Amino acid sequence: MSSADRGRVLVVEDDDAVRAAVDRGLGVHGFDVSSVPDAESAMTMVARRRPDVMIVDIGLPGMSGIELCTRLRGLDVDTPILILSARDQVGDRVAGLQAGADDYVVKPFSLDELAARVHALLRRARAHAGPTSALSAGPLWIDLDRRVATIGEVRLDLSRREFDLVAVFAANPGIVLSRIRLLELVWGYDFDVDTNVVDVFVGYVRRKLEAAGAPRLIETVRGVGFVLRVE
Amino acid sequence: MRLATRTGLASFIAASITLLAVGALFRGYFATVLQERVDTQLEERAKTAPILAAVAERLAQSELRTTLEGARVVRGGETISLGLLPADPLPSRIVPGFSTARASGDRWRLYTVEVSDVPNAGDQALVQLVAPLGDVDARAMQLRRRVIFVMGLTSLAAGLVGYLLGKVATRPLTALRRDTAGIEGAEPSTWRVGTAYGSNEVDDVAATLNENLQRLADETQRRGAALDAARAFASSATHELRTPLQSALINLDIARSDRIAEPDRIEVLGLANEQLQRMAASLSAVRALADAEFADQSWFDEIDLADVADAAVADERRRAPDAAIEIDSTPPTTFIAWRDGVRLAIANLVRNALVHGVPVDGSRQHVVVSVAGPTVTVDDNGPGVAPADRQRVLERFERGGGSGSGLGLAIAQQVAIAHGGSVVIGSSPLGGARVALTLAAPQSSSSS
Repeated sequence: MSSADRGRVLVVEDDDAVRAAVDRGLGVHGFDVSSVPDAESAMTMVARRRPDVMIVDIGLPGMSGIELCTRLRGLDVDTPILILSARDQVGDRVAGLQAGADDYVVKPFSLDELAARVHALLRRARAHAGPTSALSAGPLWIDLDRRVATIGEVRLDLSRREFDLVAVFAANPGIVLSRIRLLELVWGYDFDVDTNVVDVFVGYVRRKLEAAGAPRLIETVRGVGFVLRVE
Repeated sequence: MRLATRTGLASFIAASITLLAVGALFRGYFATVLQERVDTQLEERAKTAPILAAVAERLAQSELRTTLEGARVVRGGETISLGLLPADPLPSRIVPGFSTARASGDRWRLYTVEVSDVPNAGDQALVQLVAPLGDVDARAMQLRRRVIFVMGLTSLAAGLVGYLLGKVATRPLTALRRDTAGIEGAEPSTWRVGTAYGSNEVDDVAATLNENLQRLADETQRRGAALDAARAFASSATHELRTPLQSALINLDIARSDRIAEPDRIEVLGLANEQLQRMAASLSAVRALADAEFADQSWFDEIDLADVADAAVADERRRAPDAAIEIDSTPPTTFIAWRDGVRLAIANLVRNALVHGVPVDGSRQHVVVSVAGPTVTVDDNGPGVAPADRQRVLERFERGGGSGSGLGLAIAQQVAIAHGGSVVIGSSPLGGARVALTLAAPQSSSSS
């Protein structure tokens, strides 16, 4: 892997031992890693190093991981963010995804799992740099260049990952997409991964579509996945 | 059934019974009075019996016979009927005195007198005077209907009044019931009913209820607090265990990788080992804390606090050969105590002093353990603990920047509490912190 390909990863984790281990571990996996113990230093590092992917622990002292996500998204920083959360922090995890994080990993996780996700998020982030166009499906209209999605006259307020999900559905109207396929298309996970992040995000997108006056555009196909219904 | 309905029904029944009895008495009296009047009239008419007996035959043939009041005359074995008599025959047997007969659907009153020296007959005769009782009976029946009607109305009215009175009388109970129903779903701290409902009995019930509710609310809150504490503890303990586990896992993953150099592999394996040791220490600490929290009386026996402290200090001296650890004691130091718990508590205090009491100027670390009565004092020459932090550092998982479990002082405090004592942090004459562990007051005088 050439040094130009090495993704810049910023790790924000307060526990010294975990931070050091993740730092070293991702370094071994070929990433250009920098790590900080709190959200305040993370803000500085984002401005200085422009990381390609961020790994943020949810339970940070002072400014929380959720707050950090909200601030970064508020500043139009769309760096993919992977949340680290404990199994008993379900509420925080959901809040983090709503605050604009892209995915989460439950502690304790393995290094390989973390590295695979970081790789995938990096690939996705780079893929979006290519030439794009506009899409429409039913009442949905999507401008991939400007990253704007509208329903009728209503502009949808979507996070980055939500936009990607809606775009994948709009590009495949009437086609049932499995969770694995969606993980691959939206998150870039082409490996076996144990997560319900697809269901969580479909839930968010549905709520936003409904609020914009398009109820049940994305239907659940039991045992298979989800489909965008258009007449 | 509601209480007011009960009193209403009870009033109705009581009134009905009373009125039935009064009505029956009154009706009987009225019937007797009416019949006595008829009897008096018959007796009055009986004064004319000799004349009737004498003229009976002639009267029977005259026009007058139909307009006369009813009578029968028995003379010389023959019965002569006169005046108004029932269409059906009256009893043929005629005996002197009053009697009542039933004929043609009505009752008739009969009064028979004997008449002697009857003219033209020269012998005796019987004269029976007959009076219809139909009118009397009709009036009695009418009275009876009226009595029943009035009785019914009165009973109903009594029932209604009883119901209303019952409602008024049970108003305190109703209010209590409403207040009691309001408790459901409310905050335990607000579980209370009123104290004055305007009835002594109900107020007594309310007072008892309030006492019980208070007890229940206290218990509920105590349990809630205990549950919250247990949850917080479980959450903290999980976090304490998860964090070293997480770093150990990653370090082991790194060690497995074929992309790292051998010296690095040995280093990360060492780190993983360290983190697993940290987990093991945390597990023992959590266990010790739980033991101290639920210390059993059977674990307590007579110990010499100075000996226990000496043993604990000996261990720590081995761990920290560079530090100067002194111990002194002032008898009596024999107490009933939990040996293992006390030893762990003292060891934790000494270890704490060794970890946090490092002199800032780089001079030799100095720790003094003094046993005086039921108190073990550990002094160090480190930087000390700021007064604002002295309470906080005793709490669970409050780690003072070190790599410990954050439970050392919490365990010492829990052990002290198990003995009815406490842990107090202050300033040491050595310049650092002074931590005093006090067990309960001496339970046996110095032996040997």
